[in-house]
Amino acid sequence: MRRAAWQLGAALRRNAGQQRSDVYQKPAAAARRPFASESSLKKTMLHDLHVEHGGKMVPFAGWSMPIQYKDSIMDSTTNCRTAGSLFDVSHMCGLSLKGPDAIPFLEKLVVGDIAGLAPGTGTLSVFTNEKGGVIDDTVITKVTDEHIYLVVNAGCRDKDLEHLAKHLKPFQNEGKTVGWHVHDERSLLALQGPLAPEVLQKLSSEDLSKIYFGDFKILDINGSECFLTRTGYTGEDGFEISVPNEDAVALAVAILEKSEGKIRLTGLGARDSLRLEAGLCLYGNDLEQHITPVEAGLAWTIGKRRRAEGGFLGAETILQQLKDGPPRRRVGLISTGAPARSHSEILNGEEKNVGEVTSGGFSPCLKKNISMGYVANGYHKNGTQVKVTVRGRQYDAVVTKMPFVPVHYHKPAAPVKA
Amino acid sequence: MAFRSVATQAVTLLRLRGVPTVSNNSSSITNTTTNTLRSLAFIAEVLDGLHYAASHEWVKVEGSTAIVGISDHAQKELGDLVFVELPEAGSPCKQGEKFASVESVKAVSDVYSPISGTVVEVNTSLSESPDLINKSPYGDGWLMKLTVSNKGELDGLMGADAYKQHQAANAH
Repeated sequence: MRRAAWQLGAALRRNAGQQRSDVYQKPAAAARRPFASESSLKKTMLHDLHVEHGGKMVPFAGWSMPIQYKDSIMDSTTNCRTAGSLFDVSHMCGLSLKGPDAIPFLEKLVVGDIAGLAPGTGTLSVFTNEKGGVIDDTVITKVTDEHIYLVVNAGCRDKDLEHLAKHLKPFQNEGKTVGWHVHDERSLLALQGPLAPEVLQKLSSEDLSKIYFGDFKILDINGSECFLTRTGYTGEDGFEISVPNEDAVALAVAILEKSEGKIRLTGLGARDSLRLEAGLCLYGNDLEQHITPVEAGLAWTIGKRRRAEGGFLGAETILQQLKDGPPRRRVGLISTGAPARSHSEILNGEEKNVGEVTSGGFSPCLKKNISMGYVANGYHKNGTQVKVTVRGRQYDAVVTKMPFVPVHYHKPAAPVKA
Repeated sequence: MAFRSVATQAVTLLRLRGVPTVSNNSSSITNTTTNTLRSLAFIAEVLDGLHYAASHEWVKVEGSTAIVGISDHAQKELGDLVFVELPEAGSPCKQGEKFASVESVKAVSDVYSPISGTVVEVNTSLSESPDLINKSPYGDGWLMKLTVSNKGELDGLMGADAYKQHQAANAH
């Protein structure tokens, strides 16, 4: 038996900025490659804790990260939705932009209305290039009017920082004041699932029930000053906790202990299943430099003021697509037969290619094949019957509304329009 | 080299760590017990009387018919299986060549025939319940039956003891 492709690993290698070389054609070589450079991989503060808990460590965007622990990806995924998960996401890059001109600077590079955010709140946004394509997706928080905190993908770190630096220089030359700091002194933990709030509450004297989805607060957790964001990548309620490196292990252990074993350390394998079930994009698969936020179904991240004013990279293309509709759209699919994974062709009734799957697999919670991909405009409506090709065979698929599973975000009682 | 995957290496680490590491921790007796049991879960069963390929398939020969499946070690490495693609009855199989695919939540793996022959039957229960392979890799989780064309090919396969050693060697 030979593993033909470690799907997530393949995505990661692309995330890590490598060319899509022979990874897909020669999987055996791809599987060997990471081990040659294992010693050069970066380790998070939690590395030894992962190994103690049976974490299977794999290379991920230059880091040694747990793909799963002793329980199966299936069990691990469902446990997140019924109890809770603790993920080490310290490989992700947290950074702060500070200064009176931080917001005008950032707004040149992202589509979101950052000025319009209330202090202590945040939003998902995207960095765009001149053509309107997505360079990275990021969660941006307005801490104050002069302090922005954002988290970008590990695999995009170098590219993003270069992009920021390139645009910062001319901006500063105009006499504007913006500084930045990469939070390498901090680790990032994601605590997700229905038990997340009550467990974290045991470690903080702040009333966490007042911190809603998207909110941000600097507060004391387990005796250390943390940046707390009520957000995540699973569709469940939960938090991302930026904690000083020296306190990261103690916090992780405290969370696991306070949950009495119900919240489990969870690896990247389950994390990928969870985000797919929640209909969330994985950069490098579902988002790429040639895909616009409108095509990706992320037009909601483009603030009203930004639509009127533009003023971000690629605005011309993006605003035109908002007006005319995009040529292709990201959709969800539920298919029969073999799970459709990235690069599966999507065909219409006449067996004509109308798109491609960008990520997919078996949903541990729904026990069905779910995937997302891009289809030509016109095939995007829910209920549209299409076919997906897996290893030369065609299987029926139907365009399905995402998220595939209900999401459980902690929002104020009065419904708030996103 | 077959089956050299990320997961294989990681499971290896687990096995090598074993119980001593656990007892070094300041964990309670309960925790130690749990961890020991979990460690045991990674010890794969090897049945006597079967022939094994280095790529972790088994074959049992009865007269001119052979039953083929994947080993307990293989199913443990793969995790929960969610889809199995099998050949059609009547199709030829060649030793060392791919005849099936098995899929777990995150990975697709090719399965190679340990022996040449013609497929006479495939395990159709697997289309509804691919997890039969996880539950019973040497029993209800069999993949196909075939008429053997060259019994001499069995000489190139391993017996139970050799396969146990092969697994252990693979673990380093």
